[in-house]
Amino acid sequence: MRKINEIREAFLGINQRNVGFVFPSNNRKDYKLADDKILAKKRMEAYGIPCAKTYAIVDKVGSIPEAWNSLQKYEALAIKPSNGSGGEGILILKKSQEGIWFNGEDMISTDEVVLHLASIIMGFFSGGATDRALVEECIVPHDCFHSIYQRGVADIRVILYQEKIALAMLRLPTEQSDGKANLHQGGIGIGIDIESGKMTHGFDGKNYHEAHPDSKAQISGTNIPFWNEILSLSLLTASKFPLKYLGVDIVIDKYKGPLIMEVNVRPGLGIQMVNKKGLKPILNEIDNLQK
Amino acid sequence: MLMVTLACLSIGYKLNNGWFQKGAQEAEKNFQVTYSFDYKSPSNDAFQIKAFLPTSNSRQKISNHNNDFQQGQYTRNNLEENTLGVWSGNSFQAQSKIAYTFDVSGSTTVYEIDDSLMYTDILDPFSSHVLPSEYIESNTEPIYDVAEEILNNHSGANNMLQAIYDFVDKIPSTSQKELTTALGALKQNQASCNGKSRLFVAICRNLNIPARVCGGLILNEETKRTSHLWAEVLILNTWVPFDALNGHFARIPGNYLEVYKGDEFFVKRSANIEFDYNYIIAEQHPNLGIFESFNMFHIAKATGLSEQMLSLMILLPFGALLVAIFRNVVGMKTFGVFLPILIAISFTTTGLVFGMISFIAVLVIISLMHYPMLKWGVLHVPKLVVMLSGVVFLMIVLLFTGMRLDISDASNLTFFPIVILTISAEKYARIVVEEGVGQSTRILFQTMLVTLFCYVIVQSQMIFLLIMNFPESLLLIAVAALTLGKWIGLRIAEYRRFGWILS
Repeated sequence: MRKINEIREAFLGINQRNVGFVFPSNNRKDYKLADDKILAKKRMEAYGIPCAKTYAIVDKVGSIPEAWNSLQKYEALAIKPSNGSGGEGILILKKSQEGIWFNGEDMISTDEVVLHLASIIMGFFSGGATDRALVEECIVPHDCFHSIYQRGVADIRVILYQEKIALAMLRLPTEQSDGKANLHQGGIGIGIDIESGKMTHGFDGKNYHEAHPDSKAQISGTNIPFWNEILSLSLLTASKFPLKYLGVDIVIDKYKGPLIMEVNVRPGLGIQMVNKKGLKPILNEIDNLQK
Repeated sequence: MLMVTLACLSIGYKLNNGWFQKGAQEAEKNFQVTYSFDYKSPSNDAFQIKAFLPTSNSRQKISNHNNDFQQGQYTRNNLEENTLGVWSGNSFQAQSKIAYTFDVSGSTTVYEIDDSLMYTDILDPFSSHVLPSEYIESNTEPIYDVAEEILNNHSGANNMLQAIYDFVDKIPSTSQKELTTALGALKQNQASCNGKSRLFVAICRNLNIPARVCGGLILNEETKRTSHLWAEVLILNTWVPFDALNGHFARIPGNYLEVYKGDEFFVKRSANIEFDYNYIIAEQHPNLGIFESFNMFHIAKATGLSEQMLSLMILLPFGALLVAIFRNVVGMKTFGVFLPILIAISFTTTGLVFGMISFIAVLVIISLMHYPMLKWGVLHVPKLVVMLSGVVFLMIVLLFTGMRLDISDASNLTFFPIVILTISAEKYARIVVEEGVGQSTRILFQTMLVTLFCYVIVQSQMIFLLIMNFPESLLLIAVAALTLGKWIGLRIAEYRRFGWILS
């Protein structure tokens, strides 16, 4: 009984997240500012929030060839469905020295790229509704996390409420997740102590770890690089979006430092497990500060 | 608040007035019946028309007799077991009419035959009701053979009657109008109500069990010439009805009008007249206030819609609430909100085990179609069309297989909600790809568990009566759902999810 009360007081469940925080804090009509990657990008660009550079927006099948031609001047690209979810439909392209486009190890033809863009526009990745394709600069991951794990792209999720930072975690790929940092695809979540910017421990969905499961590099106590920039970037983003409960995803670019990749209206609750810390007292405290 | 008050007031009012039907079959049925006789006499002789008249007893109430007959004399005669109406007069050249009208209110009666009762307890060789008669040749060799076979294999009264009943029941039914004797029914191996009833009585009589046929009308909103015959067996001083043609064992439905006992003719008349007759039957709906008439049994009767269909309509939100509770309070995951309840409803026709196996089979096979299309990069809506075609085709293949192998259950598969099944199969397939076989199997298992609960609800007679009598309970469902929609407690699954961090 005591344990049940303890859980109830500490942890935020889906019901309360929606009824108590997402619904009252965020206007339904503003959801699309986060859910639609192109709208989110435009807002960030308008307010000078650092993010990946937009190369092109393709909204008609007819304009694909022209857009593809104009993209030939770049060396690397990320093509994303504006309304995709869970990383689906994202295509990363890199040009070889001979000027041939590659997706990972595989060569990719112009036809294949055009088909992918057309699929995005016809709603293949957005549940049937027509969509737009966003083509942007390809992030070069900063080598600051290479001492822990070298493959894939690490990202940092920060949850903000009333423009205050509530919880944060770092997500790192593993061998099992095949370069992806998503938790339910096998990535590892690492809790962050917000005060110090130090990593606490890793969580793989079942167990807690002091070290990365593949590289065995020490996690606990390691500093998150650019921590102060990450904090101020999160706060800046929260202040420029009309959403009072949101999650922001940040990656650290080799040349530009921390960049906002995505804004989430309904950030997942697994971050509580990763941090071994419930959101409820934190959010209540923020509410009390507001009064 | 307003909705709860409204619903409670309405339910309270109904309960207070005792307006609670126990289901359509047990409900009293009210009819107005008219014997309509047309006659015309070419000669000038005197004539007579005789017809049996029903009387009130413990299960039927006859009232408001009205005899419309101007051209002659009418007498009502009480015979030993029956009441006979006699219309007599001298002939008239003009066509004339007799209309005898009365109201009937009947109720279904079910008789319990104690299992401990032996054959020896119900036989009575000295009763006049064990003697053979013209059309009930109970003393003939073929009837004797049937009776002996039954006697050799059974000794309990109930078992024995069941055996006689089953024997008569499996004789193919016909709708022929002419008189069939007990022996005729046995020899032709087919019979309508009169042949079957006489055969049932003849077998009983051969075994020295007192039995008789009983004549009357099956009341439905119609005009007809057909009367009905069934059997009665004397068990411990009670005449217990059996109708092997319509499947009533020791039971008589509310719309059976008993008119006469014994192997008689319903209507007899002088041979010298031209004669035609009809029974005009009209169902009478009681005049109800607005509260009482807001009852699904009543609405079903008044509109002619099936009770089954109306109850399923109300069960849909009921089941959806159940699914909502499982999702938002327990934290279970299901494919879609409505799939479990719709599948549960279709299980009521397919049967639970057969339904479950076929459902899982269809889901898995269809989701297998998804994988190559995903690899090939087929767009969402066309992909759904392909899968929908697959579901329908699979149904037809199962139907065809069922037809070839003579599995009657297979035809019930068409009750599956095909479109929703397709969408769910697509979701299932996507979860298999995105989250692995383990997670998708867990969700499938949880969906089936919720479906099982929905099935219990859908099958429950108590809930059926509740929603049929009180459709206003939908307001309570809406209020419960609203409360659930604002409920911020942790889900049970979340207690488990977060709980182990603390330990």
